[in-house]
Amino acid sequence: MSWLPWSWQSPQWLWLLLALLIPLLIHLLQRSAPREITFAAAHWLQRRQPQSWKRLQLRDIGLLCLRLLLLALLSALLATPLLEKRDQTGALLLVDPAVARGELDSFTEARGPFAQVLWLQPRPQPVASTDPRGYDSWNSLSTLATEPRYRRAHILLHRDTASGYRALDYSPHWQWHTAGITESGATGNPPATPSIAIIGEAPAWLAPALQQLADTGTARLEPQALADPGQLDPEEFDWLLYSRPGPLPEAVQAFVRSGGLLISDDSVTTGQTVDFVPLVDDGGPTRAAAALGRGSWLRYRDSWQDQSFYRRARLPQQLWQQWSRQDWPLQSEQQPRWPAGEPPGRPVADSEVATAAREPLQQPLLLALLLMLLAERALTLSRRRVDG
Amino acid sequence: MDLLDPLTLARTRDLAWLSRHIAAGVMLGAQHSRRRGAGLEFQQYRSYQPGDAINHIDWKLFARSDRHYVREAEQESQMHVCFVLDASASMAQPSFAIPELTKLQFGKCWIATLCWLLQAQGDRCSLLVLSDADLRRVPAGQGEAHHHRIALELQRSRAAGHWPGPEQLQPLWSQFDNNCQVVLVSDFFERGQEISDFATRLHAAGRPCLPLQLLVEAEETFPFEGELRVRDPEAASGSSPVREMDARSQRAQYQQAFARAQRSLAAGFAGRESPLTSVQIERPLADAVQRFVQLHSRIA
Repeated sequence: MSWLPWSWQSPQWLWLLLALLIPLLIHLLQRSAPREITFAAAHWLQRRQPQSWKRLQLRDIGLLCLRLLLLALLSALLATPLLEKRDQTGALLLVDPAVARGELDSFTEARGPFAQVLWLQPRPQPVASTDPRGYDSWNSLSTLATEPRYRRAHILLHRDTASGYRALDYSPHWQWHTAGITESGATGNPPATPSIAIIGEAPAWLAPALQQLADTGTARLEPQALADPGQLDPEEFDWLLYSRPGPLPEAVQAFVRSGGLLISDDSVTTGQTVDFVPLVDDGGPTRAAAALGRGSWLRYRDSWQDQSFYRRARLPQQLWQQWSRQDWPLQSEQQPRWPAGEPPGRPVADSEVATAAREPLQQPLLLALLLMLLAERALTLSRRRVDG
Repeated sequence: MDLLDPLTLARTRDLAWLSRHIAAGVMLGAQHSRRRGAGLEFQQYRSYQPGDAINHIDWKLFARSDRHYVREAEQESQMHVCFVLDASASMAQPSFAIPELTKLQFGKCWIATLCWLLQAQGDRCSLLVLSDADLRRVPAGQGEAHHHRIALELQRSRAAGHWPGPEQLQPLWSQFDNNCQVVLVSDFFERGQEISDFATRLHAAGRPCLPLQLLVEAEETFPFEGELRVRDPEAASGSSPVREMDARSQRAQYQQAFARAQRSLAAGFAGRESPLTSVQIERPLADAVQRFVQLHSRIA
């Protein structure tokens, strides 16, 4: 019965509505046996038979309706209706604290006006009077999803707002907007292309494989050959293909520790003990990986100069998958953002927030019930007084 | 004046006590109403006033005091009031508002009250309870003992049957002797003209017949709804005592017919110079007594 402006807390009491049949039956039975009175002045009554169709009419329609209404009210009272409380204050906008003032202003100009503009935080404060605080917007959204006041708010998110570590609770009534992005569903810049440096002799299969990746549109990688490991700048390069057999230079190790991805075969060694973990076979060349500082080292178990390494039909795709999967910052960056209107997570149904959003109707119903009871008693007693 | 609620009236069985109680209320502030005037038993002197008969002046007192005084004595009442109570079945009609109270009960108490007032005044009372099923008679008398006797006889009477026929009434005419006033208490619901004929015959014989009509409120308003089975307690033989009807459709016609009959009845009594007093038994009994007494001041 969601089309009704109210719902029932104990709908099982609505079965009591069947009791409406009782007064109906009583009135029907009474109709079949007319009341008998002794009346000394019967001499002045006309002798005529009542018309037969009148026997079908119910007596005391008013009283019957009152009694039916009384029973219906009683059953409604026991079923405890809850009136939906609609917030009539107007449109409300929750702004991600990461959204810049300029972006917010242009958004409100384009989509406004909004009755209230609040920061998206566990206790939303007006944007005009307070500064934003660094809250996790994901958590804030999950908290506010169950708040009746914010069930129909507009949500303005920054495009880079990260996803959370747990499922998002959200209101299905929310209207999603992303600052600086059109509503067409674009989720941001195209995936970043890692920049690659090569130290040592590049394997012969590398150039054709990269060319194939570029041709298929997967990625356009342009490796840059470096002669000296000292030229490695973690800010400039993301991946390093290292093919100089022997121990790993200190500069390369520093590059990896500051967040770079080192790719090599088993000809490269290190003086230190590194805990390589064999990775799951995905059909590509067999490899192991180890974490070094903020970066990682992906090392193939065999020499990549061997035919067993590069004679594979899907070598370029397999390599791209293995390398990009090992690059954690890239993974993070390439995670899909929340598409407008289709947030990931669990919608919080209205029924779950019912208690606060609904107002019990018991008091007015009780009052109506008492008034009806008084009216019914008064009407019945007056009838009894008249009829004797 | 509501000294007694109708429910008490309906439930109290000691009519003698009840009537004294009501009469005390009726006569509140009007005690010592014995008439004074010419008679054998001296009561008081009073100053002569223009219009007094000269032969009533006490000349001996004039000689002593040089003033004119009139000698007054207690006037002896010569009045005999005969109460005739209709005890036909229609008088058993209860009130629809107070089902314990019937017209007969009201009439009994009304008669006992007026009878007490009369005996306190020194008048004589007699009683006739008339129906073809039960005829009761108390000859004329006065005093408290006589009032008790009348109250007892009233208490025993029941409403049943019809107004008695001419054969049953024949031996009763001797009851109405010379100085007799008849108070006829009935609802005047008659099959033909039998009660009206009774009053007419009394009037023709020079016996004033003062009527009191007892009605139930519903008989004037007919406030019923829906389908009814109406039982006529005095249905004519040969016709069914019960008939079914739709109350609402009958109401307007009934009210017109009943009002017409009432006007005709009142006009008949007014023509015989004995106006009809019509009372509803749901109203206070003391009011009914006072209205009657004021209307027929000859009795009071």
